[in-house]
Amino acid sequence: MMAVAPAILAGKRVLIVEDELLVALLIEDFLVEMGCSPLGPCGNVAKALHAVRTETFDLAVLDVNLAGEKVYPVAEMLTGRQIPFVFLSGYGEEAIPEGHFDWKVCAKPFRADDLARIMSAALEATPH
Amino acid sequence: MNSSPQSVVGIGASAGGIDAFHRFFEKMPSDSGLAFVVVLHLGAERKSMLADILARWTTMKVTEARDGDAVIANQVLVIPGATIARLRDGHLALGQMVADGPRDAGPIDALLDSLAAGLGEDAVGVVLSGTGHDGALGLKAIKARGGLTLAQGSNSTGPEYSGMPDSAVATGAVDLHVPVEDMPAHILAARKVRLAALGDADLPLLDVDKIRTAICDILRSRLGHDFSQYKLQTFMRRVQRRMQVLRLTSYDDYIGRIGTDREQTVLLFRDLLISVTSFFRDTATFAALEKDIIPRLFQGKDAINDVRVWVPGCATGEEAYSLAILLREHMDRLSITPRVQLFASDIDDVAIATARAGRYPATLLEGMPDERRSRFFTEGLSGYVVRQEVRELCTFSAHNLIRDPPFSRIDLISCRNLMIYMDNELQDRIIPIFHYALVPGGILVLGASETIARHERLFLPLDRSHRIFVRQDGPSEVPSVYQVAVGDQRSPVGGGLANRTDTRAHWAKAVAVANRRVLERFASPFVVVGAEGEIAHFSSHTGRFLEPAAGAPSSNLFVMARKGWSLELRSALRRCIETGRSVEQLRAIVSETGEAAPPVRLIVEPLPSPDSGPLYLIVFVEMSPPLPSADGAATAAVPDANAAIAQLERENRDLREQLQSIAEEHATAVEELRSSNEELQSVNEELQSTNEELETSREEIQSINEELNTVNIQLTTKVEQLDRSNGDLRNLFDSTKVATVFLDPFLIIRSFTPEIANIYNLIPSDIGRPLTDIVSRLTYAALREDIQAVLRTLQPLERRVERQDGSTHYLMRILPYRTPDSTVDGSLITFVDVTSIVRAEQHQRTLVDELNHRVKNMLTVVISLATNTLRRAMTLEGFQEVFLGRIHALTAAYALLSRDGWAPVPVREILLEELKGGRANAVINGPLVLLEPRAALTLGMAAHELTTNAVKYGALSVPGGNVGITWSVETTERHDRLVLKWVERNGPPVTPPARRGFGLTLIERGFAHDVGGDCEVSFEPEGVVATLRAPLPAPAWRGPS
Repeated sequence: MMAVAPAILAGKRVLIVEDELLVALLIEDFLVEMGCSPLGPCGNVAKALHAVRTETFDLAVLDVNLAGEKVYPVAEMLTGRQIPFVFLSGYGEEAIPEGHFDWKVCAKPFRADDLARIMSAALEATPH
Repeated sequence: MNSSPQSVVGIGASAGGIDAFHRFFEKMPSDSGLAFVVVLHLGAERKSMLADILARWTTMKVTEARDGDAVIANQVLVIPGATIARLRDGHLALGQMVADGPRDAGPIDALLDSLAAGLGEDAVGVVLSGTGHDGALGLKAIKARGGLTLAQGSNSTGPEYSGMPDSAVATGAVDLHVPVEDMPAHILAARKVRLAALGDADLPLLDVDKIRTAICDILRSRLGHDFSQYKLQTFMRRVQRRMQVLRLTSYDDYIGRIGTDREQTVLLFRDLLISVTSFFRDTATFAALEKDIIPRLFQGKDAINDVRVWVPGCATGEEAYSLAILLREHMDRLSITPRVQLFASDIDDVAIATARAGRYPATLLEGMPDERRSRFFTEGLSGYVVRQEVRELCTFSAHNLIRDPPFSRIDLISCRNLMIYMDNELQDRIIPIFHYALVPGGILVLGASETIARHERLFLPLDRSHRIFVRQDGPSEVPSVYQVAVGDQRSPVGGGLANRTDTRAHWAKAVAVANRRVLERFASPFVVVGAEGEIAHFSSHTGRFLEPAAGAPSSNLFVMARKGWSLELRSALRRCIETGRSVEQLRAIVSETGEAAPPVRLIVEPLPSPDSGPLYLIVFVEMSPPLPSADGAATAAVPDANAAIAQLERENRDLREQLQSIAEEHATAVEELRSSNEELQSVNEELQSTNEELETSREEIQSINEELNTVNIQLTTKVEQLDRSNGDLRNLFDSTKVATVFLDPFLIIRSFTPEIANIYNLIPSDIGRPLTDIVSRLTYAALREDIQAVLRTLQPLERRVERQDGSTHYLMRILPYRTPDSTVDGSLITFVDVTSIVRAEQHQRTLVDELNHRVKNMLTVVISLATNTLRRAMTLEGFQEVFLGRIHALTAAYALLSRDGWAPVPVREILLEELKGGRANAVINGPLVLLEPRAALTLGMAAHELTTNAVKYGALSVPGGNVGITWSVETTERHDRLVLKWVERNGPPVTPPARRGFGLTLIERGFAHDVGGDCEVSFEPEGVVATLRAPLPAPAWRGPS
């Protein structure tokens, strides 16, 4: 599936926020291949916010559209906790609201390589 | 100068003259240094007492002039009646005036003309009270030579008859028109100035030139006439003359005067013009007329055609006669001549009278070549008379150019130096009148400085340097209503004439009858004979003295005389012829019976002779019978005879005077009739002209009437159309939802539709205000620039604009406003509400984005399915089967959902869709429950997995097996819940799988994750049992009731 997973990803706990089960399953599989530990998936904003408050993880993967809601509140909370995240979206770059050009987005459909690359970039960008 | 040149004052008067002379000489000092020559109109018979009369009023020596008398200063010479006097070398030459018609009378003209010729600037001419126009042209001659001219003006005392002074003034040649009492002072003052000017003869040339230039400049700027080429000497003399008249001694004063007083400028101008020969003035122009224009007038015309010429402003007639001469000369060269008429008119009927006379002093004919003069003029004692062949071409009449109808069908108009006296407004009115009067292609000749400015449309220059123009074709603008003033208004001469002629005619008739009666009843018999005795006339009762002679009939007196008379008659006649005087003889008659008959007094007298030869009157006066005494008989008879003779003589004289008077009156009547005839001819012409005009007017009015009718109908129709259009437009405006505003080219509002109120808060009174003044509800600020761009490029402009509150979007269009003839006359702006379109676009964009997102999502789902299925597949075929099955399930579920437009779908249909092949062995039971798309999909996928599993390994894999699916709705306090049970029975024994397949994961986790429900799948030995629970949001799951 993937050539070689970036080293930075090894052992990272990753929260999945996605409302489509099949897509969540796919992400799960990719994460496992990368050597990460997947958490979730959370299917809506409420569950996701709960997970952010109660769980510990290194990175989050956020689907922009969650059953009609936008996932931005979750992003704001993560930013507050200085936890890096990556967006997944069928909208691509347009998903990023104004003023947040540092937020990274991975366009659907995506390959494992794409996801790994962007996740690494997000991890590197955030000071630890 | 050592001795001043002699100055002679020639004074002429007629009726009312005695009184005028009185006043004149009373005031004239006796040491003036001037010589005086006086002429008073008198008949030859009257012994003139004038010299004695005048002597009463002045201490100067007054004598009756005789032929050859020297003209001496401070002396008065009186010319006898019926005498023509001329000055020659300081002496008077007298000639008998033969009174055979007023045409030849003109003693004052003759005298003044000779003064002009002989003395030039030292001549003074004075015309006092009188009728007629004697002296008028004489004054003009003096003027032409630079002399001083005066005419009697009115005050309380005179003139008694103003005919002569008025005629003089009408020629424009009178320097001073003053009451007779003021004349001496004027004459003396002028003389003084003249003598002073003569002394100034050596004024430096440079100064003279400067003075001349200054005056010429004034003339040019005021009157447009350039006199800079005028002979300097003559020019200065004219100026000096005017200064004399005004009693100015300084040139600067005079220059100042003409600079400010237009009347003086015009007077100087006139003087300068008069000094040039009046006949054929402007030789070059007349040469051009003779060579080119006159022949043109006659071209192509034969005896039935006309050549008509009009000279307006003809004044004393020189111009008219000049043209008439040219016409006559040309006519003489043609074998066939058309009818030629020259109409000469002037507003001043006094001048016309002078012109009619056709008699001009020699001075005014100067410069005319001798052949012309002798060919067309007869030389009379007092001037040159225009010959009949020229005179008959001319018709003179008084005519007001502005008021009276013009002459019409004219071939040539010569109006030279009339317009210069008019202001621009008057000239403007006259040129079109000339245009009207001329035939197409007719010729107009103007004076040297006159133009047709502002009327270039009417005339084209033919010969610019000679001011000859040709009439352009085109409509004439002339007021079509003229008042023809006929009768008293127009010509007092004509009106009065008729009356006087009537009365005169009656008197003449009565007198003639009376005369005849007296002659027949009381007069002695008489005969009128010629010098040889040929009898011209018998009275009645000549039988006593004459009887027809035997032999051939004879009318010779001596042949017819009775016995004894022949000798008497012969001797008496002879004596009369020799002496030229009356002869009387007394003859005793012895009758045949021997009785003494009363003696007969024989009187023989010469009569005024006609051209045919001298005539004599022979009267046989019968005396009263002699007294009986023999001796005393003769003597006694004599006193009676004497008394009778005296009485007869008296009667005779009376008769003759009456006859003379009648003859004179007759002559006058004839003359007046001639004038009247000319007047009438002229009036006739004008009436004809008016008539034609009226005809034309009538036709024009008729045709205009027709046109107006048509136009009226057209207009009515048009108005109806307009009304309808307006109505349509108004309805359209009101109905339309398109907000529109119409602007003029300056952004002023013309009109608008009611809809505009949503955008601009306009009310009807805003029409007329600029739109940019009105506040709009839009976020749009570039209105002015956009409109100007449209007006400039004439291309429409579109723009999307929105309300400031964002509620409505408009498509704004600015278009140039085109009139029916495609000129741009403003702009119009329309606003179309496109909010729904905008929203739709926005919605579409959202949908597209959504679609994109969904598709991408879907693809991710497919990838996920593929990946997971692949992971567990052992073989490629196995992968294919499972993978494709799942894809189809997904597809079926989507098909179901999209069929109803993503509306909630009944559970039953989802199950049926997924069961498909295995349906035969399935029992499905449950209420109508609608599932949201997400739940429906998940159920569909779950149903697919369960079915696949049952078909492969479970109850549906053997014939006896079956599946029972039941569902119901549970109601809890939070929300309703679907509970569905899948029970397989009678299938092969079931063993729980060692590993949970993807399908199972999908079912279990799908219900949990995607739907928020749960799912339990238990592998019981009898068969698989699955329990699915899903929340049902709100009452929507019930479906429509």
